[in-house]
Amino acid sequence: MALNIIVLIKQIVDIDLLKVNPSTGSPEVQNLPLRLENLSKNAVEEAVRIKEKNGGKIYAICFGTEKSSSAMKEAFAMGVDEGFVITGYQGNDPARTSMVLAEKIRAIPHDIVLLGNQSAESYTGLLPGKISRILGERLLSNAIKIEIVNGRARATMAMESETVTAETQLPAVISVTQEINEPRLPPVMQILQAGRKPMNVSATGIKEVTPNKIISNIAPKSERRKIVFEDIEKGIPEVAKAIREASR
Amino acid sequence: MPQTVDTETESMLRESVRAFVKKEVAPIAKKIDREDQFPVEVFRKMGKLGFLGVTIPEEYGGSAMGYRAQGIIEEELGYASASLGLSYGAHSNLCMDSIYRNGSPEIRETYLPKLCSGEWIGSLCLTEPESGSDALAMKTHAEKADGGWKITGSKTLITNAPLADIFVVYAKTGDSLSAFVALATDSGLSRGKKFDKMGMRGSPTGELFFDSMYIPDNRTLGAIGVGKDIIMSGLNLERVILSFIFIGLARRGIEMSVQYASSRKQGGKPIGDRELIQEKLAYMYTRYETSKMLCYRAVDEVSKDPMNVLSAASCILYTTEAAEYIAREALQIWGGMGYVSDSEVERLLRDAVLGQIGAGTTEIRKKLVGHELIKNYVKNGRLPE
Repeated sequence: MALNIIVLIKQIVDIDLLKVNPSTGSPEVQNLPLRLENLSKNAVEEAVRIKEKNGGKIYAICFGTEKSSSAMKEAFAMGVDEGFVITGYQGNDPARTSMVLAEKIRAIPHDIVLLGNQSAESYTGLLPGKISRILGERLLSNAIKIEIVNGRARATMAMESETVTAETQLPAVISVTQEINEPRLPPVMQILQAGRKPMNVSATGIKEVTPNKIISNIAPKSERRKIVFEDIEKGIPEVAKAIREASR
Repeated sequence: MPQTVDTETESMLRESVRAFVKKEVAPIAKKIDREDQFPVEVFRKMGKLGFLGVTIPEEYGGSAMGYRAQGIIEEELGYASASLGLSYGAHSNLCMDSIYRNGSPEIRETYLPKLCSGEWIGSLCLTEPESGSDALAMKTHAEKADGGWKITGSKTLITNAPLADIFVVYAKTGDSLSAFVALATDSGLSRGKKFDKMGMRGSPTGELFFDSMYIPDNRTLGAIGVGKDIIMSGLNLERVILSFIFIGLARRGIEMSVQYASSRKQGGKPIGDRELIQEKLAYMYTRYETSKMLCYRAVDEVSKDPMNVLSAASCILYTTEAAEYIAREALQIWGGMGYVSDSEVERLLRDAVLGQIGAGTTEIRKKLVGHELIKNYVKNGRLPE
């Protein structure tokens, strides 16, 4: 059964390179390179695997900025067939983002909507539920395994301390975790084709929904104590003594 | 001006190769060196990802991205394992690209897909026991036989020879030179010893012997007698592509030096606060940046004209001297900790030394650059653009 799969992807700054300003404690995000977010890669990878098994077409939607075409091309190189970049993203606002994305999803006939269960940038984890609600489609969340059986989606989901397997009719929204797969490295031919795949760019008309206000994003102060033991002769007891004293 | 900034596609390729190297190559780089073992499985994965055939058209299993892409791959491999970069260069550039540029449609169709996928490993055989830099003085010769050629002679110091499936072999045909495609299964071909090298360990280097090895007419590479041109154009491309390994190696050397100079304390402060260390870092970085610009300029020039000796020779002359200098200074910054064999920095230095020896020595490169400048001036009355 050929499936139309929509993957929701997000572009964020490269958090591996993120530094905290030592005097103000603020994260320094200016001029950091932009990347396709890691969980978005897991979602794309899963979409490609489902397509490889069942056939069909993969669309990706990215709510971002004028710079988001590079993230879309990364998704193209991994196997996405067609992309929609919606510009106008102004920051973390899950209510607005879910409305913007749902509006575009509705315009594309689809069987499955895949997305990461949260993003490495904000960790709200709100989008899968909100999008499922707006669309009126069933939600399978935190999937670590997805199978399509007899036109239905079956997902093994990671809960707090156990895994649960559930099945639902299509169309459905499925959020994935990092454990579900290992995203592929794009092969050279796919990288070359990435620039030739259809990418539709449009601006959203949906205005700010929730007046989100960041109260603080300052890193807490942490002081690391460092003790250098230069007299090796004193040995382990000396180290143990220092640990005992520090933990009092 | 050379285009030193990657295009969007090149940048995606670099990201992909860098991620591959981080996951598959860096963790085993030390083992590759210690055990002197070529990582065949990693090489096959490179084939699957399309890294091997970037200069070969799609119809033969490649992607036709070109020599800049091949340089980017070399640079990223050189950062983690120069020896894998060297074997990659011998396979993808020296052997496969030469087969593509000079081979008949039949040769291309038969062998390029296997080389692009990594199913087969390729090698190029030029150096002989008595002819190194003076390659044209080779003794290996081919005699016409019924429907083909019989080759007799030997080759030495051949990269990938101990495990290659296919070889581009140069031999004398009368007064001129010709190139042939030999297979490991050809009768009359035998492998000699594998050399135990100072550096570039894991990239196997060996000897080959040809005892009346029969090569059918349809496996001559290019026309009989044009081997010298094939060697010369191939050498220029080879020199530029191999230079990229040494930019990667230099980047690793600088990175390790800056890390160590920032954390190693002597006299109560990091050694990086000392001006003598800062001077080292300044020269290392400047030579690295200069090498990069030179390589990207040369790869564009030699892609346009593979007979551009001046660009190719000056590029590898500078880049490999710079890499050896950077690796040596990195070891000096690391001091005793760098000299012990557990440190990666001593491997960088051992690997860097090959740069001034392989693909024509530093001395030959100087001769070529000087000669080309004089030749150009006498002919045109000015320096080349």
